[in-house]
Amino acid sequence: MPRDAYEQITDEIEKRLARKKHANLLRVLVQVLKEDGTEGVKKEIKARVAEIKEE
Amino acid sequence: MEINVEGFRGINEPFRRKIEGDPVFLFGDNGAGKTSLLQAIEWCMFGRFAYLPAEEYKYEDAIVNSFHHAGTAKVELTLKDDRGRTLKLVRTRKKGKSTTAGKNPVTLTLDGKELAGSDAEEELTRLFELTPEEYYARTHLHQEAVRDLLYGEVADRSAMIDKMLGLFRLRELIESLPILTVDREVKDIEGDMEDANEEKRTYERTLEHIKKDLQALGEDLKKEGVPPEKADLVIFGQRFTTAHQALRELAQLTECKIREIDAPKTTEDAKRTPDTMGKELTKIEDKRTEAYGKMKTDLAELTRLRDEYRNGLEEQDKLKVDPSRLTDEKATVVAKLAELGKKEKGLKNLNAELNAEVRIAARRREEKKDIESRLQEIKGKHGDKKAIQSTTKEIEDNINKTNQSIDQMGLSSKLVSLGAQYFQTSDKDTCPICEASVSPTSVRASLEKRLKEQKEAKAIEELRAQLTKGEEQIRTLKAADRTLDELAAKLEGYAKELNDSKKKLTALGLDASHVTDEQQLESFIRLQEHASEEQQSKLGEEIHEAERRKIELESIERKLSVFLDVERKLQQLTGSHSKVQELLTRIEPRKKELEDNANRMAELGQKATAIREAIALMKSIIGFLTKKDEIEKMEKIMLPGILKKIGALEPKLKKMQDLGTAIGDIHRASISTQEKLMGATLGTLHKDINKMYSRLVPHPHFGKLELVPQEVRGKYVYRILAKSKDGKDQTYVQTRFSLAQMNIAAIALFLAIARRVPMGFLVFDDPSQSLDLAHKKGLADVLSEVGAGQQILVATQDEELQKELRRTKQRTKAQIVQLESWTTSGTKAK
Repeated sequence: MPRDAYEQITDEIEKRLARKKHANLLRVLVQVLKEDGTEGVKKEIKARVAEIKEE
Repeated sequence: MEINVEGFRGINEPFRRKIEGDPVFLFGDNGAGKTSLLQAIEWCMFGRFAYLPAEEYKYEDAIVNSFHHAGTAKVELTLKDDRGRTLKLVRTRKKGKSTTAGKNPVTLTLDGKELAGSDAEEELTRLFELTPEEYYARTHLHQEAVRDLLYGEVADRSAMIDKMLGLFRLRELIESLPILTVDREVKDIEGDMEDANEEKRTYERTLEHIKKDLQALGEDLKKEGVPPEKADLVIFGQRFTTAHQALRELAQLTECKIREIDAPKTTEDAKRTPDTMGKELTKIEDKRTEAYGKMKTDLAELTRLRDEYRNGLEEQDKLKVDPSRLTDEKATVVAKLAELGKKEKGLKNLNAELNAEVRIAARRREEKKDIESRLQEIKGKHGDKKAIQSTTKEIEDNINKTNQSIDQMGLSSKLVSLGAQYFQTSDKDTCPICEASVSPTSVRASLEKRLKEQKEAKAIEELRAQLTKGEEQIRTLKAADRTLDELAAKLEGYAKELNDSKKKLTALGLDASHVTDEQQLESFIRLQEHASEEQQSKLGEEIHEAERRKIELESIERKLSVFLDVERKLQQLTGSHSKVQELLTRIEPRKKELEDNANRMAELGQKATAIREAIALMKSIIGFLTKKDEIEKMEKIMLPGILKKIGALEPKLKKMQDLGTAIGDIHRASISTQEKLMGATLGTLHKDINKMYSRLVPHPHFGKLELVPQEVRGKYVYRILAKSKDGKDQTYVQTRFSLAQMNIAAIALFLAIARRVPMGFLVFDDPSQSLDLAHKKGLADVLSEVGAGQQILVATQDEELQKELRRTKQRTKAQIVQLESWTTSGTKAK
């Protein structure tokens, strides 16, 4: 059986990030994509935007 | 692989088949259960179908076979992985109300370890690393996949190809990143920051202006003797007290009522106070100006009235009229005029009556003359009434005699005629009447002669002419008699009218007893008319004189009224009831008094100006204090407030910008990854695609296929290009290829990609749709080649393809499963 495709994607993208500190967000988003699909990713980012606005 | 199915879709009774390396060809008519068998593999692995678009599946459970004895679908699938491990999957389903609802319990046994429910599902996801959609795209060639690959929207096609290539998750991640949303949020906060900074700059500019104003106001205060540093509410209050006292005094002097103004206790009160005082001062000034104007007007009026009054007195002396008798005299003149008018009216009426009577008398006289003339004429022609009656009697007698003669002549004529008839038929010699003897012949001859002569008839005609003439004379005489009667009656009426006229004259006071005819009457009336006209003339002169006097008296009356009006006004202006000379002596002192008062009012204007200046100073003080307050408010509240707002926005903007940067970075890195993976995959894939395509009888000119990624608005899409073998010409498959050529291109793409899929088997569901025989032959050869290296399942009802696949059987050692036509017992192999 092949290695987890999501992990493969994460690793490939991470290698190409301009700033390594963005890897954390990448991993969170890929995990959300895996669990809840594209709508989950959109919701996650909207939640972060809302949190910043409410501060 | 081994599959054991029952109660699933078209399959009712248990259907078991081992699939061990060699290709498996499922042949059967439409509806025999081929697709059900292929779907059973997908359902067992994933518990659902990737392609179940029809809404009707919500209302009917189409998974469980309608005729299964237990109403349960069950699929067992035994697989081996590349490490030789055995995986046994069992999925069941009790018939429910709909396909989309309901549970599909699964058990998984891997190397003796059994998992069930969610544990089993999680393990399956981990093992297969595929979603049902990806499995369907990469392993299962069917018409929906061909449609998505070639005819669908470019976004759907690109998604489909990414699913086949295993790049779909990356596409999903890229498309789910809301870069624009975060950018918009960053811009919104930047906008808020800009607004706050602009607000801050505005405050700073305003503060600068207020400080300049404060300095200018301070200079003004210095000039007015108030040091700016000492300007406060106490100084303001002192100025208020002085100005307020002056205002009240001025109000008293001008007799103007003003409202009470309290001393200000707060700055806000103090701001309003100068305006309030200004309004009251304006009220006083209006009153003062009005009083001054009135005094000046009264002065001018006194001079004018004095002159008029003097002139009036002089005129009265000249007229020598006693004003007290003026009214009585006028009343006498008016009464006289009324009496004379009455008399004049009586004379006019008398004249009118006389005039009417004289006209009547003249008419009557003329008519009488005419009647008498007519009487003379009748009498001359027929005599008087007696003669007419006598003549009439005589003529009537003659008429009677003539009538008798006519009757006798008639009888005589009849007798002659009868005698002639008698002697025509009788020869007797005696007369039938007198019995005398006669000669019949002679008598006959004599009678015939008389008949021929017609003597009686002629005599009768003459008599009748006399009779007509007599009757005419009678009519004429009778008419004359009647006319005489009528004329006599008229004359009698005129006599009566004459008497009536005389009575009327007597009633008018005139004695006409001596009058006997119309002639006399006319003369008498004309005489009376003349006398009356003379009287009227005299009366007219009297009336004219009385009216002249009346007009004269009225003119004097008007002048006297004007004089009295002037006198009354002078009395009002001098405040006395005296008259004539005494009144005149009072005018000059009053004028002097008015001039003094007017001068005093003018002096009060200077006081009002001083109060207005004091109010202006109060305004300057409070304006200075207000500016000081504004500066304090600006420096202590407004500016710190906006700086706090900016301070709060800065970290927010930083965080939002960081999030935007991070998402942008992830997006760019994802695109870069996508480019790299696409490049790596497509670089080796093109060789396989064209290898397959060349075996499947390609397009005669565009013999090579190429899958080209293209970036459109930040997303990659795939174009399927067909190129000539020399590479000079190229086209899009969708624009120039026929349906069969597009299907062949799709099968080539699928086969090239599917061979790389690690599932270990490929499924072809009715792959020959719209292909001709040559393409089917090519397809059969390619499938046999693929089947030599990979487990394949091919289902078809196409007899030509079946024949071609049978042709390859010896080479492929394929297992051919011929299905019977479907019955309620389900799918069965022959």
